[in-house]
Amino acid sequence: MSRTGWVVLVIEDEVPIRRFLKAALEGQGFKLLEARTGTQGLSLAASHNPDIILLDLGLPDVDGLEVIKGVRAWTRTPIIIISARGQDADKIAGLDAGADDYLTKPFSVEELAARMRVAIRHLSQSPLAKEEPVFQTGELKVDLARRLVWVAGEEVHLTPIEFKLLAALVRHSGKVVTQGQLLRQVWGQAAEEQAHYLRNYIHMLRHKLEADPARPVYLRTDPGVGYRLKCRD
Amino acid sequence: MDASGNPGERLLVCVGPSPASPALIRTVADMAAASGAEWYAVYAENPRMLRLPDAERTRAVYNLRLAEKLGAETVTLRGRSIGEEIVNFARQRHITRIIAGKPTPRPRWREILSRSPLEELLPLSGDLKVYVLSGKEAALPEAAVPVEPKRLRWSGHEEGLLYLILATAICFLMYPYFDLPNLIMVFLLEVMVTAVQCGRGPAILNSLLSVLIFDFCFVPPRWSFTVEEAKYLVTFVVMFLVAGVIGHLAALIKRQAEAARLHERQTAAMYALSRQLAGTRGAVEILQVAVEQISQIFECQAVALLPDDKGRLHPAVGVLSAVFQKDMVKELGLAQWAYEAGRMAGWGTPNHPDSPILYVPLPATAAILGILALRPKDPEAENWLLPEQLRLRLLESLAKQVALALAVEGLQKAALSAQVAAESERLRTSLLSSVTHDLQTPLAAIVGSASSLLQGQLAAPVAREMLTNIYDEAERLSRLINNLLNMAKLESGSLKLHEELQPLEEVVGAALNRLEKQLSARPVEVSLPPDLPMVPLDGALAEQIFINLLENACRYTPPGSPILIAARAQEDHLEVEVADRGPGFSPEDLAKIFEMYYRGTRAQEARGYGLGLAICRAVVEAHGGRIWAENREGGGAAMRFTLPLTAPEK
Repeated sequence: MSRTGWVVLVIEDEVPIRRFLKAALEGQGFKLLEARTGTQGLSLAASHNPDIILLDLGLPDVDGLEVIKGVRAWTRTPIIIISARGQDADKIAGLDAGADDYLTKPFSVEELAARMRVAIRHLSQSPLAKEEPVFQTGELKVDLARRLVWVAGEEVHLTPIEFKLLAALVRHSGKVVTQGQLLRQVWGQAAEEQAHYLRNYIHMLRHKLEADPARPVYLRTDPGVGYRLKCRD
Repeated sequence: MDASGNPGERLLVCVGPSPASPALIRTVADMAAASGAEWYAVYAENPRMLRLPDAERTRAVYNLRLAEKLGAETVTLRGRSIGEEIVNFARQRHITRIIAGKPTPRPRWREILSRSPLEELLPLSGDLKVYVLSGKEAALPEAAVPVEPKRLRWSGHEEGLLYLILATAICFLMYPYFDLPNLIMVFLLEVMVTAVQCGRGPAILNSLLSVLIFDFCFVPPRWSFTVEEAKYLVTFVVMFLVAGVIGHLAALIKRQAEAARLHERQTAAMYALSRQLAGTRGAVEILQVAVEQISQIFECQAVALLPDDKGRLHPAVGVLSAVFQKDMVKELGLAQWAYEAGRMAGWGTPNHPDSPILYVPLPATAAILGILALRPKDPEAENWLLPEQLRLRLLESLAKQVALALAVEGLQKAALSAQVAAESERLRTSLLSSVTHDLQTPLAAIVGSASSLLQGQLAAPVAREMLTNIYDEAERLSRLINNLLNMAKLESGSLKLHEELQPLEEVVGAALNRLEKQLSARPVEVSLPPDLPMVPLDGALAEQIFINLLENACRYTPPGSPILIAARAQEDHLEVEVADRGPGFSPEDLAKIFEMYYRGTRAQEARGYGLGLAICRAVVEAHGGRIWAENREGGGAAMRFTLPLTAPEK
């Protein structure tokens, strides 16, 4: 994918971080818009219609969550949260409010680039576009239409719920999916007491899909937040 | 007698139910205070005194309490002879002076028949100095317990009559076949039974009636009170006297046995309470035990009231509605009075004797800690505490015991928090020096490397080395800050565990993923049985345990040496192990390794932060498990910890 011309809106009050993002992103051909406050960020988002938004949760004027809700009110522009450590609850709230992914400070340029790549790819295949029926990453192959799964060329039998769970992860491959989102998408509602069912099914999926379930390659845990399926090749 | 005494003196004042006693007690209290002498107030009871009207015995108890309040050590003695008991006690305690009140005037016939306690005392006293004071009558305690003296116990007399009728009937059956003396035996037996069952009054009445019935029904001529032969007159007199004495003795024995039983019950109650209190921690638990025991011993409903910061009483333990059935505001007011005055109030006391509830303060050395409110289960039992006046004293000593337990509890708490404060002060100092050092080292490296880059003119490989240095040191700083954050939260207790049932594999997997780079060059064996049960864990914190343990293993072992992660299920917990094949621990390390900012003796060259293992311990303990270090067989270190399969109670 060509990155030239993509417009990135950075909503961040810390100068050193903005300086680092500017150096890193402009070097890769992105165009940068900078906002120091949430209000400024919202108005820039409305006026310039950026392709992707990087949002710091600790803003001086408004709660980052309000910015996400404000943006989501009118556009599906990908939002990547940038948060400090120990803000798990805020991260989850942000993701559930419609943010696409998150990064925890400190993060490297590679991580940032990977997250942005995934977010932009997901945007390009909006639900209006037809879903690619076959998903492949490494040795794992999933045929969503025919409900078939292969690992290293061998077919793997999944129960209906296991498949539903895997399909939900496939649709967001590369992005983190919170426990609440998975529960809603697979079981229909985010019942807290069902959280350990979810973990149980993830456990069983890993034993069916991973070569070493204790060192998962495809189905990874973001502790305290949710799960992330390795992104499409 | 001179009122001033010498220090080192021990005074003993004899306390009785006499209205003059309080004045005597006050005089002795003044004497003791003037000379700084220790003093005892002794109430001695002989079996005869157990027959005193309840009001009198109550007065004796109140007098004893007065003495106690004035600083005396109070003692109740029991025995056949009051004088003997007091003298024995005085010798045991090395009493120097015995002080008694002038005996109250008694009817002449009684003076002839029996000696007063004082008369018993004097010949026995020997070298002991005995003083007799003529106290003025004090007005106060007359109305101390305004409960009416016990009325005649009609039920006792009725029961006595029943025995009499029964004996008469038996005699009628025996009359045709037995001689008259045998019938006398039946009546004597009947009088004795009456004495034991109903007391002295009915027994004496029955002995008189028995003689009359014997005369009327059996002695010839029958059915008349006249007597044929004079010898029967002697029989009647002897029969009456024997019956009377038997009845009297039997009743006496019964009272003594009752007194002994009561004494035993009280001792047992005290013992049971103190034993239970000794094994109880926490103010509420202590009061729980006290309320349970006291409501059992005294057959009452009990509530413990504790003061808040402003000194207002609030119910702490017990069923409030069972005790305060009506007039709640008035009753609580009375409780408040008892608390502020530090005296008993309510039922049967000078203050509001008409209240159905008795308020007993819990007195500690410095203050009253609370109030026990007691309501008799049987509201009709006006003799609830009275038949055995000494129960009131028992109640007071039980209250003291409870107060003592509460006070000890308070002191322990204070000592503990002082210890905690000192400990956290020590930690703060240690933290400051350690963190200053640990933060400055990577910062110095970063600043140094960056400044040399800024100066430019570095060869490309050197510049790259500088950059790598900056990157590594920054990552190290980040980990340190992360650990510090977690530790601070765990230490301050503000971090709430977010425990969810999950497979251990998930947490291990997350940690291994996070450390992918560091572990890439090492064989890591993960041995988790497939049937390992799920365990309640805070995912993020538990991951930190593995990250810290794995990082340590990497730091202290040569590159490329293997690491093992294993777990197995025990009865009610998982035992988890992270082991390496490095140099292992020195014996000194094994004990201290989990202390904050401790660094292993072999860790001088490797740079650590002394925080990692302390966090592991804090997290494991927060989950209700424990962690320890071992040296592996065949070399290397093993860190083992347990995780309970059920979440700890919060």
